[in-house]
Amino acid sequence: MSKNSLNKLIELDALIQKHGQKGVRLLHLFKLLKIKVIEMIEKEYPTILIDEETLNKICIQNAQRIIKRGKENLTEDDIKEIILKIMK
Amino acid sequence: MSKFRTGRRKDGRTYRYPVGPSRGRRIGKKVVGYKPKTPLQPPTLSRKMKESFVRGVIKSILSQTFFFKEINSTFTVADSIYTNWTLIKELYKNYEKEGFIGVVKSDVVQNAVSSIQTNIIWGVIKKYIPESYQTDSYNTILTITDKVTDEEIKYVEKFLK
Repeated sequence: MSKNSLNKLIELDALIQKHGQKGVRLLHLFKLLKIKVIEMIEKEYPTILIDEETLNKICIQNAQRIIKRGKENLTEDDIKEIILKIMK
Repeated sequence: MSKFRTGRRKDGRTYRYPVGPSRGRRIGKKVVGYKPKTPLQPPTLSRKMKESFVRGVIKSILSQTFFFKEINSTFTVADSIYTNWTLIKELYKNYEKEGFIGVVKSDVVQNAVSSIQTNIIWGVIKKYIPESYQTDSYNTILTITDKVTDEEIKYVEKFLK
């Protein structure tokens, strides 16, 4: 196993031990938003320089807003409702 | 104004040649030094992105209907990883000690083509994912879980305190 993946395993373990289900959800949602934003910018606005700091900040804020309103067992309709409330 | 200069030489021969920016010299029948005009390419300006721009992009992503399903499969994968973390961690440690054989022995991992991380996680959580979410969940592991970096994990942890 490479050093990078070992570091990642250690960090992920620490996150799960400390913050549980909420931590893993937030991490995955943050990464999903970040990937989608980068994909859209590269496709539709290729001349824009991607600033990682700004990107991280906005993605984590939006991910937190979604996680805060969510309950433990979420359905697709629950997620739709949460997002519609956030977008108002 | 005429585009040509005309006249008569001392020896009586007439001349006629174009005036204006040099487009080459004629030597006999051949024109030398001629460079065709090429249209100038406008310079591409790179702009630094602003916060308001990123917020707008996220808003348009969140408003896409299929995105609700992606978020749902992301949560399904995250919850399954959390629930089975002890087993996933154990398989990672086996891989560290014995290589791929240590992981294959567990009967959980079968696919040798994907990365070891994808293999381990998918092998463990697959049975907990509903049939209709299997493809999306596998893609979630490939694109998100596999690609998340340790710096990103540390960054997210700051917001959980």
